[in-house]
Amino acid sequence: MQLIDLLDYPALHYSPASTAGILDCSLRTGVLPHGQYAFALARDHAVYLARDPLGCNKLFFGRNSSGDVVVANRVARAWQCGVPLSAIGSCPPGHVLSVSGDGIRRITGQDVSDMAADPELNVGEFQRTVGAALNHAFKWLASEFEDCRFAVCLSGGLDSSVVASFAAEHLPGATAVSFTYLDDDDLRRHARGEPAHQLASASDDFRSAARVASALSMPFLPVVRSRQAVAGAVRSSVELSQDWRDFNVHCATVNLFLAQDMRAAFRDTRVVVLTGDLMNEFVCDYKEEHVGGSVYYRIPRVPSDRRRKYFVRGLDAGDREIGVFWNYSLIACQPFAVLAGYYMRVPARMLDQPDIKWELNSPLLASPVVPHVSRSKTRAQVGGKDQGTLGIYHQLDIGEEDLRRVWRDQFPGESASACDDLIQLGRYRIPSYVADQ
Amino acid sequence: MSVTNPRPADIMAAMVDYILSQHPSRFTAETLPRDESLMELGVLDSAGVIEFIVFAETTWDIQISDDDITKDRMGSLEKMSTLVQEYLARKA
Repeated sequence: MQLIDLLDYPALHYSPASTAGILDCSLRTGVLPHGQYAFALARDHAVYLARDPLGCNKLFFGRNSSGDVVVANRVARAWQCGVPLSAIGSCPPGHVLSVSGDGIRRITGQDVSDMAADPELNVGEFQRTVGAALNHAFKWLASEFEDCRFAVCLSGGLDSSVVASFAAEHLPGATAVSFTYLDDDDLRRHARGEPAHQLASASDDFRSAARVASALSMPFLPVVRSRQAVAGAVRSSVELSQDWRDFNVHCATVNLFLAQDMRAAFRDTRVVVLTGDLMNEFVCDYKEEHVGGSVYYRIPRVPSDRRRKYFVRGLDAGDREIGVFWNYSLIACQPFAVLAGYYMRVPARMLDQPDIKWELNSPLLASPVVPHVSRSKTRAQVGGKDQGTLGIYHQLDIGEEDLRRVWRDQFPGESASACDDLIQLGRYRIPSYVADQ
Repeated sequence: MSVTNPRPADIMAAMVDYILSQHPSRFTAETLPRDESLMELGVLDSAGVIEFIVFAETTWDIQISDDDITKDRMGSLEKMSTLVQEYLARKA
């Protein structure tokens, strides 16, 4: 049994440890460190697989006809290497599995989404701890990626503005990057040199982002597209996000545009792209959207702590950030990944407060940006007139069934059910395994 | 129906009642398939599955493990009913 290792996503684990060191430590303690990583090691006639606690980096595996163990961040790559789709599984987040002639065993693991809340959470202490954890993470980034250019995806909302605030302090020269659709007249004006944020058809979120960047004295890279550009981005959005569900594909479309322009702006440079992702899941403040009489992104009507559990659990499936950016050799970094353990402690009674995210996180903002942050912003793909990317997909009448067909097109010869079964009840399919003693 | 020791038929009946009342569809109590995926039938969307899980956990006072939230274990009303029975047996 050989290991065919096709894993290529960069690993970020905020420590000097090697992958072997992380594996050994997790075998001793039963816990994997926070971060973004997925790795495979051949050892003792078995292949060990390990994946970060939130499932930021995807880890697919299966055995080909020769019995080799193929591992990849992209399911399509494992499939192209001879593993039938029905034989491809995903390593669960926060787990170590071993694959050997005896089958698949769970060596260790725990689910972040099952962590208990703290009914007596002290907000002041919480904020100090979170601030310290972010400071540590950004110092590590500055050191680890000393030779890289940094960019921050800035939507104008609280989450990305917090990331931008820390980037401005720790990562000199970091550039803020923001996206908006423009109408045809404004696209011409922008091409003639008029600043995009001063144009009438630019979104309010984009204007907020420009103000936040200015307040932090960060260079600002505007990314603009016509609404017609979406139709040409659908296939790539599905393939790169490894998903057909609309909320992830729509977001991937925005990230695709950002990635294309960042790669063009920073040629021949290693770029680390920082995003404010994950916080919406941690405080479960997503809302469903209504467009043209249709409801999109329906939110489960269950108590908030249960909702958070399933939002966090659902981070496993979909690759709308890291997968999209890495396709352009951009290293996506989600700094809030280091905070999962803290935010899972926030009790339901606090999650139910309408402005809880602002109360918890606004102290993390650099003070000059506070007046410019859009407090209502939640989803990057909804911002803007006519509800942004979601609204355009709606106008184009591209629904989830269409996206599912695009997904299936990647795997000619495979049945529809084999393609669809890869995502089951909100997660990538986990193969049956035996739990180790 | 006893919540602590329900019969399998009671579990199924409670699930069918819940689905029909909370997720209206073309099906009735008689026609709602017991052995097919409610997602594939279009009765439940992904949010509906979560609501269904929380309904089962609350109704029978159980905590369904992440390992069991799979199509193999929960892919139909019959599978879901079996799963609930297993959890209740472990509690007993």
